[in-house]
Amino acid sequence: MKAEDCPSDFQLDRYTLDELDEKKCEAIELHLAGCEACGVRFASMARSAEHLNQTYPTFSALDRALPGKRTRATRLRTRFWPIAPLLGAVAGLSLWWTVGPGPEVAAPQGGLRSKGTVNLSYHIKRGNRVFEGGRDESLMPGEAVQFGARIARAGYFAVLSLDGRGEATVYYPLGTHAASLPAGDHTLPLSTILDEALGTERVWGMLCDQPFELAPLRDALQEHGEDAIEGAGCQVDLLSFHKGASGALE
Amino acid sequence: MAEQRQELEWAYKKYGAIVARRACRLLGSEEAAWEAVHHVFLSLLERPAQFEGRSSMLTFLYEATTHHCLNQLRNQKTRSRLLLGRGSAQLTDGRLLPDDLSVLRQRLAQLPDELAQVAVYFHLDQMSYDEIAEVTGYCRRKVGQLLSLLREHEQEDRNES
Repeated sequence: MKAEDCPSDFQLDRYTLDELDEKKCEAIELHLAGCEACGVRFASMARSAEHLNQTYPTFSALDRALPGKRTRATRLRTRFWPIAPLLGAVAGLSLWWTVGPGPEVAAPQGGLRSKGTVNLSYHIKRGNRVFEGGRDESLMPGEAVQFGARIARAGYFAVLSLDGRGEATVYYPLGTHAASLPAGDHTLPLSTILDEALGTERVWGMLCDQPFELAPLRDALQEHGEDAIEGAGCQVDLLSFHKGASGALE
Repeated sequence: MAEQRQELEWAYKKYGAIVARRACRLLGSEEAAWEAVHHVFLSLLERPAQFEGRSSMLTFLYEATTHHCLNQLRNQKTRSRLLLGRGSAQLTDGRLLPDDLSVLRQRLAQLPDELAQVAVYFHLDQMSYDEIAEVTGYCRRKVGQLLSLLREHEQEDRNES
């Protein structure tokens, strides 16, 4: 138990947040310098904060990591979806899932567009069925998609989208910066349950030579549309699908 | 909506680790603690009015976290998982041992709400009367009464055991 004059965690939190006046700050600093127990406690709180901040650095990251806990208010959609076992059960599902990377990727047509060294693909989980998404695929809210990327050279990779409402989202990776990926075929580790935003959604896979932050790019995409992607000077692949209301495919 | 999200991200960046640390000590599980953090911050987005009139965001988040975690400890579905779970070694700081925390959690689940809240602030956060009064909104006198009642409860527990 702490001594009477030891600051509580509440006081130390206020001190850390710089919410105390100068006099109280000085008193706490003086106390911490002379009280070993509080020094240890304060250091422990700092270590905890560092660990916790690293675990989920943003609320969006936490929101994505807690499937089933989200509400409509968050409008975020990503969650883990173990697609690999399903892939094994579906014979001949997809060639691109298993073949090695080519030096240059041929440009698909229609809703899929490639600009050379990066090719973005996706699979759809509809009920118990898993199949590769095609160009201008019609999807429904509640269905799951998982992206894959074939990249011909190592770089920093991210997947961003602009949905039918004009809301920009980072599909991949979690965290603050683009993921460093080697050349090859990659099944991206996160899947997404599609939300209720209807309309055409465009999804960009971006491969850059340099590391880049995701939040500024997402914000620019939301504000300026695809010009933000085009202006980044990276290798880009674009695909799109149409999200209709439930029952539209029946 | 975008502006609210930005404010939420700002609040999370500033206070998220504090909420997580307290929830982890209260619930004894980092997984459950993150669910608590999620709940508390999401409620800010969904019901921003609940923060109005509060002296500070920190005070509000202390109370909201305590309230949510106590509900979790009382909840039949989550209680056994939390009470039987081991405390998070990374987030204990040596003042209360994991066994002490486990006993405290079991007691909290059984106490009336007002007493449970005061017990959290007094034992877990080791707050002064003034600080407890500030976070709960109770007057100092009521805090004193509740602490006295809490002491009686704890004495009864000790006598029974």
